[in-house]
Amino acid sequence: MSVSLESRLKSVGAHIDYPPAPDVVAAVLRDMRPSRAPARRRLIVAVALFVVMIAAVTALIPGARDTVKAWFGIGDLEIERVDPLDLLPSDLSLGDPATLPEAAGVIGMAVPGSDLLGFPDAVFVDPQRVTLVFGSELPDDALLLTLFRGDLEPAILKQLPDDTSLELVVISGEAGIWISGEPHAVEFIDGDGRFQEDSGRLAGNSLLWEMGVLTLRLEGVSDLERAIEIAESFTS
Amino acid sequence: MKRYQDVAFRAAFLITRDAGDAEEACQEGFVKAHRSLTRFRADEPFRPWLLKIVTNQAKNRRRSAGRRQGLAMRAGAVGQQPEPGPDDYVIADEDRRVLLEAIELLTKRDREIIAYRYFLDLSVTETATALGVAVGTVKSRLSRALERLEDVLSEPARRSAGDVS
Repeated sequence: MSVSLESRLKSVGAHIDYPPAPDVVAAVLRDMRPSRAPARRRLIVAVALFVVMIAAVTALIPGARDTVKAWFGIGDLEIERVDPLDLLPSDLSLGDPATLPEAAGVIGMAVPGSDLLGFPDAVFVDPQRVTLVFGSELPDDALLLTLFRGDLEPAILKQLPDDTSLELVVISGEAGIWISGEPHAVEFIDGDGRFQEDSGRLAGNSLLWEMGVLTLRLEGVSDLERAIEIAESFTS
Repeated sequence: MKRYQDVAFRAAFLITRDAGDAEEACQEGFVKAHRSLTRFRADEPFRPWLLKIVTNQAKNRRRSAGRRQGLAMRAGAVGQQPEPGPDDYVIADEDRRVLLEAIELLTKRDREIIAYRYFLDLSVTETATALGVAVGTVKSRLSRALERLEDVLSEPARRSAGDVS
């Protein structure tokens, strides 16, 4: 009797001699035992939360406020619900016009490129960030990509209106956040650990994600799937 | 989390071919995954999503230089073998060995798609999610990989061992 190739391959798979699987959960927790650095403590809490949340992965999804608290693990900065009208008015102050080499000087590395969007139509810099503009008509049809040097993890949404929703996503295997709904203010902790207010301006639907030492924020795309497609087209 | 660590580790090992790298990839993948848990809804499959993140970590580690080991079959003691499932036809140890040797001669890309689909026993949809490609891509890549595997197996020296009777 002849057995199909597919069935034979499954049989091979069932008999492969894998190394014994380590106890990854225990190892992760052991490696992140308390300590010296607050950042490590944050990770311990996060991993512990993960263990609990995996067990209940089909349970109800918490609201954005709880999500943020859970994600960051430690309440060192409170999420503050505010009336959107109390926020600052929108203001597209992007910094000074610059060239790509000048922008590279601001972030200390080559500016990531996108084979989907091509060259930016305009580049702006200020001391903390680089903004690339794609699309000739500002502000309605433009895509804005803002690059900060620093991790996404300590990026804090300090003021999150009730109608703003937050979704955690994966961009090329890295952590990302999709913020949609009401405009929101965004503040960052930069690579030196300093708190930076992003000009106080409001952002619409935004996708934030990490790329190595950079945090990137994409604005101007209303659809999450499209935003992810664009984000994943950027390479350093 | 524990219920997924075996399949996650195996996936990482199939990519890295190094136990230490596979373990590291799993740990990094699990830590990264917690950050995105709320992307899930009750009707979304969790396993392939977790495998996707672990696979990305494993691929990053594979790029670094290092000695990679080949896959091997377990020793044939009957008591150590799993109960055959509906698709796990009882075939000779020799046939499995020949198949595995033939797979090792394929490209990394072909080995990867065969390993995820058949060795991890993921569905086509799960394979697509875990490898970060479209379902149609999995089907076409799989089809071509199996053709190439058949070619390798049809070499005269392997033909007799590849048949099951």
